[in-house]
Amino acid sequence: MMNHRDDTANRVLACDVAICGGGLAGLTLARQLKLAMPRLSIVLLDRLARPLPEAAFKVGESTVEVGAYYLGQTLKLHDYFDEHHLYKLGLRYFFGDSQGPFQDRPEFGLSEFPPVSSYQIDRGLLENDLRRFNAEAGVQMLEGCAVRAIALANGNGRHEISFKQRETGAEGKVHARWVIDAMGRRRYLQKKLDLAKAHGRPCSAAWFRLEGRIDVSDLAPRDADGWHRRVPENNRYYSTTHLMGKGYWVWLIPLSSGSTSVGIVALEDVHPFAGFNTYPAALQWLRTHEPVLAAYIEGREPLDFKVMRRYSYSSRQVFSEERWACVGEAGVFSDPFYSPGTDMIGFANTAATEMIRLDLEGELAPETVTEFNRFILALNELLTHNIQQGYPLFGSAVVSAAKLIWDVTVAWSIYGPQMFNSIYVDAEKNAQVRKVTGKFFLLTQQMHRLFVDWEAKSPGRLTFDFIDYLTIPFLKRLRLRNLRSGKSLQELIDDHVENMERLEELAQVLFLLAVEDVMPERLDQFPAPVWLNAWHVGLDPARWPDRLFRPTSAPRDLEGMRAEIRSLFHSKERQDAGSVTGVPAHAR
Amino acid sequence: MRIEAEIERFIVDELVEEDLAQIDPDESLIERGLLDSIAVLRLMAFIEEQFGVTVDEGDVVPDNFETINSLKVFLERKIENNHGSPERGR
Repeated sequence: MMNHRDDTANRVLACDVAICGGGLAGLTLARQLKLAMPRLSIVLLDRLARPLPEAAFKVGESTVEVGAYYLGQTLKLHDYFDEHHLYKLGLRYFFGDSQGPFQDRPEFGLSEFPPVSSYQIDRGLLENDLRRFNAEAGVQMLEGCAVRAIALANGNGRHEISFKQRETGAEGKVHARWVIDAMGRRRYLQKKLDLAKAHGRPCSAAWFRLEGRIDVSDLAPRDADGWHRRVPENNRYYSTTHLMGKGYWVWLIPLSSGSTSVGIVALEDVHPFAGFNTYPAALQWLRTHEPVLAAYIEGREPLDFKVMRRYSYSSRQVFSEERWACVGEAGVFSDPFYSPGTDMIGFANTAATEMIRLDLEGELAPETVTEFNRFILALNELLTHNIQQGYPLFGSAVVSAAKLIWDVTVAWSIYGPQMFNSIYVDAEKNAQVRKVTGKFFLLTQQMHRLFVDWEAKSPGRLTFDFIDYLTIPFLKRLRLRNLRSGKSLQELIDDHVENMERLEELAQVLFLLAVEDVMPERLDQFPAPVWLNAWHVGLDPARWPDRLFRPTSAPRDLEGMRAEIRSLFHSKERQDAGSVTGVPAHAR
Repeated sequence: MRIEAEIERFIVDELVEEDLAQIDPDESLIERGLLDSIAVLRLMAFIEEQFGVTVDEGDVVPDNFETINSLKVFLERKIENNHGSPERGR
């Protein structure tokens, strides 16, 4: 263990890569670089020194498959996560009337742990361990050293990073060929270079950690047998649980250190920030909007309480051929819904690793940097737009469920393969795959417009009790096919052709569901076998003849997928007439 | 005419990768697979800069972006609205 307290101050350290910021983005990048290029010299600076506190350290505990693949496989931490963090039982959502019995709320989530895993991370525990792993791998860790300034190099020279040891006040400098800003929301380089770009809707968050297990299973009475049976062994606890209402969601995330993270995220147009920006206000807000949870946590003392107002932002540039990069929240930030933070870290870090590798081989072309920039910025902006236009729809169970099915299908068919097969960092793969998926973007834009319109017009004719999205046969097959690495170029092309076909079919199937919910009297305009122009689905019948009824692709059979989706929903009248059994519609 | 020509030039110069650089104004850009997410964001940035309008993300749907002609109609409407309204953009 090197004693940098004595010998790093008042002298200049030279290295290949200086990583400013030792949070999740900086620590994972250091590890990825060392795994890819063991001889690379790396200095990592962070204002905090170990030991970092566990349980109530940083927010961002939940991962999905893409981020989990990055942590487990790319960073070779699979066994470590297996042993020290929690397996996650997917994303889980409760919709509907938050004032009534909890077990009556429509639920969207998994029953069993899926074969491709994701994790719930204790951030303090993970970051302590990553620091240790990096030090052992030869990364020079300057802990307790605050970055004061970064002077970017002119031309081919070295960047200069000035830092100050917080304990001793001593100052030092690092000279580096590459400098990475991983200092989070401080966005040092973004601000210095005037690259920050406003972005997204006014969404804000507040969160706190509570000691012990806040188990969503406890929100329903013990005698609600059907409800408890459909997710055995109280395993709902291991999901990232979302309690949904118009303009908001509330998260419950278990931490391996034994406590639970609770957060409120809301669109300010619907829920003013002042309504939940202190712990007493947040508790009062929960009493109004999520009274069952509020009653359950009443009287407990939070371990911490934090807020983040209007958290989304974008940028004009995150990578430069002049050998700097902004990763993690120092670059862009989307929205915590769907837990994409670790995915974005993985995408940006992998691009940074590739740029550094190419640079050291003298092969870094400006076009490569431009392409990587475009990929990260487009991904962030589209993700934010896609997520945040869903907030006003969260009050509608049927529309939100349809959008979730769409978004999950998109995540596994379009975004997943990017990470699992590093498509975007390989120009040839990228060009071939883009040829196949070129039609996707405007299709998903049209679907988002459909969801917004559907919510505005929905009388709530359709609802559901429980949707386990991995029991939907087409979706289960699609997940297994796509969340796999090591594919050949031809396999990737073939799989994307198939993915695009499923998306084209799903667009039509969800549209027909919307018609049934909003205007069932129109269904007879769609006699089987139905085949429509998926790019023009919409709820204005006057526009159907021109576009919707003029498909440009050859018809395929829709009925199988249509039956799979339709069986998940039932009409509300039937539910109101009978009692809720807690057994999913398709299992009756 | 000016609008169509400029959009076509941008699409041909920047977005079409193969050499047969000709696009019918009524040909579906979606069918041709030209408008993926990155291409659309670049096209939006070009339109905003070139014509001084703000394109709302909700405007980016096939009705407006399907062909060069539909882009022209969409842009003319945008420019007109912009001209008439003091609260340009958002």
